[in-house]
Amino acid sequence: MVHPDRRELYDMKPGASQPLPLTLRGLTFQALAPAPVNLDLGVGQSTALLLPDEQLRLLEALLLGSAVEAGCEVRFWGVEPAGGEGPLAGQVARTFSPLFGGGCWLENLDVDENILLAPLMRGERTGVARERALELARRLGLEDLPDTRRAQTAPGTLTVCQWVRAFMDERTRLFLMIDSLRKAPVAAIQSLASECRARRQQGAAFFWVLPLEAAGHAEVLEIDTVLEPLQHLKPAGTT
Amino acid sequence: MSTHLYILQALAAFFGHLAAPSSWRGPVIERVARQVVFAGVDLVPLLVLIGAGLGALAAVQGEFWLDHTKRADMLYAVLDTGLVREVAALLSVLLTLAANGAPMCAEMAMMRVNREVVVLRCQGIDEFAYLVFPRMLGLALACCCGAVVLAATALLCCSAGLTQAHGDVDTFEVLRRLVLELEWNNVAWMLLKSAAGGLLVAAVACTVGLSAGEARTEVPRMVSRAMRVALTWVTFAWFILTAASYMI
Repeated sequence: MVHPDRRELYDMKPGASQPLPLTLRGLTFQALAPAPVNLDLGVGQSTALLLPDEQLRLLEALLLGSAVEAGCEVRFWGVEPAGGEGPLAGQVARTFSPLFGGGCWLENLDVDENILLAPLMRGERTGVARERALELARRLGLEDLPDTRRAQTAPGTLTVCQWVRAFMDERTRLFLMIDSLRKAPVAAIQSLASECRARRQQGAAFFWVLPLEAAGHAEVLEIDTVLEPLQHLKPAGTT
Repeated sequence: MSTHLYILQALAAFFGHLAAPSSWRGPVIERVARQVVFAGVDLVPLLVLIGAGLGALAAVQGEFWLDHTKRADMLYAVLDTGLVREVAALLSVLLTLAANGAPMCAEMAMMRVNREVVVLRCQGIDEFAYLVFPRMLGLALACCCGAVVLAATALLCCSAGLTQAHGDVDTFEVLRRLVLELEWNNVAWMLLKSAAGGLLVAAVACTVGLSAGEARTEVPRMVSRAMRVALTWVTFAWFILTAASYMI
């Protein structure tokens, strides 16, 4: 059954006036930035917002529906993200920043079980879901899905596993790639770029929220627009 | 909305899910199995120990009762009713509450504090279907199994105690009479009461745990609250079910 809030997403007709995958209005960071950030992310576009860690955490909470920044408005196809993407699940996939805490992964499941959880809960067969996840993981540079707990898995592997989890749903039309490159192997970032290209060609939009140090990866990832509203706060020694 | 309304909502949602087995996905069934093992199998040695003590106590009380009433014909029925219908189910629920209610509530609260619940929602996973429903079903099944183990051990030890007192009857003969006197509705009420107790303990532990805030200091407060609320619900449910069992 299609959730009422989601029905209109299925009913969209090509060419008709549709709400954008992501709109962000009036994003400010108190005294840090002089001008608020406004953003309209269209179908198939890729935009990055580079922020220091503290502001990145705030924006992540905002994208999860927590009202941490009064006055800022976020909409996914015109729908407010309230406490996760409940009604928009399947349409929106995301990665979580390691700054988010240990909660990126369910602690009582292995990493591979975490990756397979959503497909299995949607009713997909275990063998099929595992095969799909494994194929995706290999394309992104992993040899196998780690059958270990989060704490026993290397941070770089966890980052790639987050990509696998995000890319598992074929229906996804908006990817929120929050701090998704931390400790990722360089070769894997190139594989990610080609995966992103393929999904963009299918009409998916990408919104990258990255730390300031990740600016160098924007070109590899073929990001159309890079916004650096707090550029003056770059850590010493970075360009 | 108050906690009690959320608990009622969880109970209603549980029966909704129970009626639709097509919604029980692989991870849900696996979670039910894990819950039964964690809450039921791990508790067996303690249940056997308590059942043995209960059986010995029932044998002593049976002797006293026999001395005063001289109604040997009713002894087995009285022991059956007391042990199976009332005490085994109640003790099974209370043991489950003590052994599983607090950890379950703490687990839910920690998942909330660690934002694992948000991660679930973001993936479109219904937190009730994945977290609460299997725990309720698992704990209800574990409680039923616990009550059966407790009642069986108690009846066996009670038979042995009565045999020792009389000396002229075989233990298995006493046990056979106890089992023959056992009425099916006593067993049915025992299972119903223990299942209801298990359901309530899990519903309260999950509901209260998931209502925790974002600070770790909320966890012990939630556990303490869950214990109080669960005891209240179990007591009320007990009154109602016991009254119903004697009226029907």
